[in-house]
Amino acid sequence: MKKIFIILSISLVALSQVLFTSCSSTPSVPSNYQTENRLPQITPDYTDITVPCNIAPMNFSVKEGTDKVVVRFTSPAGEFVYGEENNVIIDEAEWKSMLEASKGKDIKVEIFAEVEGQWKMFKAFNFHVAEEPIDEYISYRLIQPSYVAYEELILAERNLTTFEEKQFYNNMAVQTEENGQCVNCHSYQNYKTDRMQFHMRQSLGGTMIVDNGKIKKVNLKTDATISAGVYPAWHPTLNLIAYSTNKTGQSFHTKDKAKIEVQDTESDLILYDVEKNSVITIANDSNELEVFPTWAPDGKTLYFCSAHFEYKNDSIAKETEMIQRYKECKYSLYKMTFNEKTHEFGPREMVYDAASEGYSVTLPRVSPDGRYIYFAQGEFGCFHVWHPDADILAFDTKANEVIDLKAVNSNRAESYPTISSNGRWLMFVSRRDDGNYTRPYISYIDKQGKPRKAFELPQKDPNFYTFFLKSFNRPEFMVEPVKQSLNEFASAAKKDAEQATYGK
Amino acid sequence: MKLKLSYIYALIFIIVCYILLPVMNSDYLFTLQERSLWVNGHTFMTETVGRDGWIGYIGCYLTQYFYYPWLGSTIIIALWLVICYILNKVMELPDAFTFVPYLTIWFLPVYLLSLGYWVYFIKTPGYPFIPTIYALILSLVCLIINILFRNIKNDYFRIFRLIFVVSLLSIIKPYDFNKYHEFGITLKNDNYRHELKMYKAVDENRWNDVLAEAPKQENKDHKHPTNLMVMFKNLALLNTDQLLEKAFDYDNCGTAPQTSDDLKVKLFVQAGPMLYYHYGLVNYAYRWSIENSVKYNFSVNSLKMLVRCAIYNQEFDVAMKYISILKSTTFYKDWAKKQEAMIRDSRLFMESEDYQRISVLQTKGNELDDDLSNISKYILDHFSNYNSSTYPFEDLSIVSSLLLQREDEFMIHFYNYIQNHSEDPTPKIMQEAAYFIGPTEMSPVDVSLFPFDMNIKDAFANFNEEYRVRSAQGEADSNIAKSLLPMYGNTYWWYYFFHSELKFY
Repeated sequence: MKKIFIILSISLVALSQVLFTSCSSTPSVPSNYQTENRLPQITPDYTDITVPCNIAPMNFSVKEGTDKVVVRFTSPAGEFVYGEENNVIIDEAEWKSMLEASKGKDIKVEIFAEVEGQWKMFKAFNFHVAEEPIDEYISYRLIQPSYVAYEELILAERNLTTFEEKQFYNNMAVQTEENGQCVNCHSYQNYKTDRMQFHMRQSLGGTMIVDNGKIKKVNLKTDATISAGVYPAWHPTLNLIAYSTNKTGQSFHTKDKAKIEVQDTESDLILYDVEKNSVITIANDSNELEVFPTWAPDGKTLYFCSAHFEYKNDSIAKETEMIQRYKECKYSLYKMTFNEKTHEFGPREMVYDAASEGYSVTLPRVSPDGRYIYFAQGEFGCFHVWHPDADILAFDTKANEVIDLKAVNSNRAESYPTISSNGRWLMFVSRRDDGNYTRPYISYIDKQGKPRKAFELPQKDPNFYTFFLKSFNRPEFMVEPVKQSLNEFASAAKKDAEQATYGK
Repeated sequence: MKLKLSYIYALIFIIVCYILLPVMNSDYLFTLQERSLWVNGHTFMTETVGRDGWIGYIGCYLTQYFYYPWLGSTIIIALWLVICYILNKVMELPDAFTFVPYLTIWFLPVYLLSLGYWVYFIKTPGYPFIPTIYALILSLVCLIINILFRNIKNDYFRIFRLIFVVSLLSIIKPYDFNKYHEFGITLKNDNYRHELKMYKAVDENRWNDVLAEAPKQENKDHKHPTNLMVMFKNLALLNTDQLLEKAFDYDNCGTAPQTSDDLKVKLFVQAGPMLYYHYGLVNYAYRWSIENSVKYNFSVNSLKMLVRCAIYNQEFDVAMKYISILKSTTFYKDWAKKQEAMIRDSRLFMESEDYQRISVLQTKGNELDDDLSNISKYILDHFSNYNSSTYPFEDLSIVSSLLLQREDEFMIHFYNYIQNHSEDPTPKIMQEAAYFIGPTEMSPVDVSLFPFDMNIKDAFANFNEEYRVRSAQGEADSNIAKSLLPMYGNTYWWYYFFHSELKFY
């Protein structure tokens, strides 16, 4: 017994020594070094970016072919040194103090790396800290970048001020081996979560609606509509949701890098009245593919995209003709006025005739001041997340012109733009890391509407994105967390859906 | 010195296990680890533990050792011995009865070998070791209970303890066992075992080894190969420049795999990406690697294919992502580094066997299409529909149209072939098919002036006559097929008459 006690004591002392050494030592900045006149290779690329004053630590990994790295952060709050390995994990408390003291100013980052026995100092870069905070929460769908198959689909929220992530829906809680369930299109009213919705398809299908904290599951497919609701947009104040209804198909490129085309062969717009549980048609022109509704912040205008497409060959299926002519399908940006009292819409008006210019616009979102409409634009089609040429652009309703947001785009697909509640942070997904996995990126939009270099959503593990094999889909800003739990949603999912009625 | 019986029992157990595992089933064990994944890193650990728990994570870790089937087997057999040792301690059995624990854990080796075709469809990461880990934990629980109640020493308690241990272990017996009972397939199904060997050989470009596993047409038992075996065999013939000459020397009557439960084997899961990649449809190989990974988890197997496709398509960033993951495994670091070297030095890639073979299989232009999850049919359609006078398309088109029994497409390929090879002798199989199809209304080509070899004309006349006579006597086609196999098994007529429908699955 005595022996065991002695061995245990020695082990504890040794362990505490190891822990103490690893936790307390601050690496020293090398005094002798060569100066490299270039920026260091770091992932994610956080060089010279503008960050919110409440963001989680911007951890990164130095990719200079060595583990011996020292990083010095200099801010009005003082100097902080990290390193001795290539993963730079910033202490959360120290980071907060740096951000707090640096609002409207810069945090200088100097990186030293020992390569082949010689220390090098790379060109310093800055984190510019914006005075405007970012919405505290975002939510997204986590999905493997598959084409048709799916298995685990997660709706998760992330606290942007920390690394905390919480699942609020996971289809594995309800689906069985034989009966899979697809989950998509989470959406909120005005950045708040008292009113939110998402869809479930196939097994236990229906639209999950949260209305002032109460969950209900509805079936929006009626005899008069193409499908259940697809792309949603909550009215900013009223208990109404505009949806597209779509008939969607996929086909696959034998050689093209895009690999897949997703096309709508039919597409209309409907309005769902949550209280009455009824839908009406907004637009259903048979020669138009209307999709992606989004409300202006005042709730008096509905923006949407529409492609003029006339089927010409009756002898083949619509799907076949669409596959043959898929590059002809180009969406432009339109709007309709909305009478909040009568729930009636005005005639459609062209906002941006993208099709005439050889482009196709999708997924519009309006800035909180109503001036800018952000959207994803590519050469053709409605599913730009698979189109490498797709970029995020904005339409300035005041100047009546399109703004090319070069600072946020890459030579790979960008899609799903969304703007924070204060209008200063543009979030979107991009495949720029590797061409295959969509990652959330955030860009600061200054008061003149100009974007700054976008940065990848920070993660605790700087190598997270390399090893994470899921895509981030449809990122949405929220000012508060989702209040319902995964179990509550799962229980509601197992219930039968209430059938919506058609007409007033 | 008297040898203790417990040692003899242990020795017998070890010998039986080694025979069952690495000696008889090394390809199966290797496949188990290739369809699994363990990555040294925080993100993988967090995800796996979050989804499958620590037991799943440890299961993944241990499964990777089947990369060397003897090493993985040694680890799992050692764990089984530890369990038996603990149970012996707990049961306090007399020496003569120390075989009882081995009987108690009989289901663990059975579990390990019960996957059969489920090896491609299993969704439980680390499955091969999970029952063993559970058994180990439960036996440790028994040991702790035994220590706690060690002062009670009467016979009733001993019997109670024995019953308790056996019933405790039986808790894990139903674990997924009802789902996987393909023990017989793993051990005895020839096609299954050929497929495992062929897959590995194709993966390593060992084409002659692929052919060694393919049954020749004149095989005595006349058990048909699976469709996958036919596709692999033809691929190996293509890559050894003998497709047109020898395709019908082998049995082309591909069947669906036989399973002993309700599992419906799908080719796209089993080997879809591998077939697409080697037949030059790289985008589709990539797509199915992803689709399968989504359904059945990312594995070493799928990551390797994703790397190959991404490098071929020059999508180097995503290739590096998968390479980084494979570099963080225990046994695939070197493979990943070789692929990385090809990204760094494009000459290495251009000189690689993969590039040399696959680049010549590229058809002109991009198409928007859908295989409707029917891989082998899509590949055969793809080549059968394609008209080209260049090698290897010419051979592939001819053989594909023959396999699909597309008379019109074959006759057009035949016509083009004899135009392009007017100086060369026309291969036997083409003459057989053209002599038979040419005069019919299905043929868009007039072959009346083509100088068919006399022995082909005679052979067809004899075949036709024998078939006519036997058929008139009321003999079933299956019997006629068996009778005519030795003489005509490698003719196109035999294939056409007796194998009217390819089994796609």
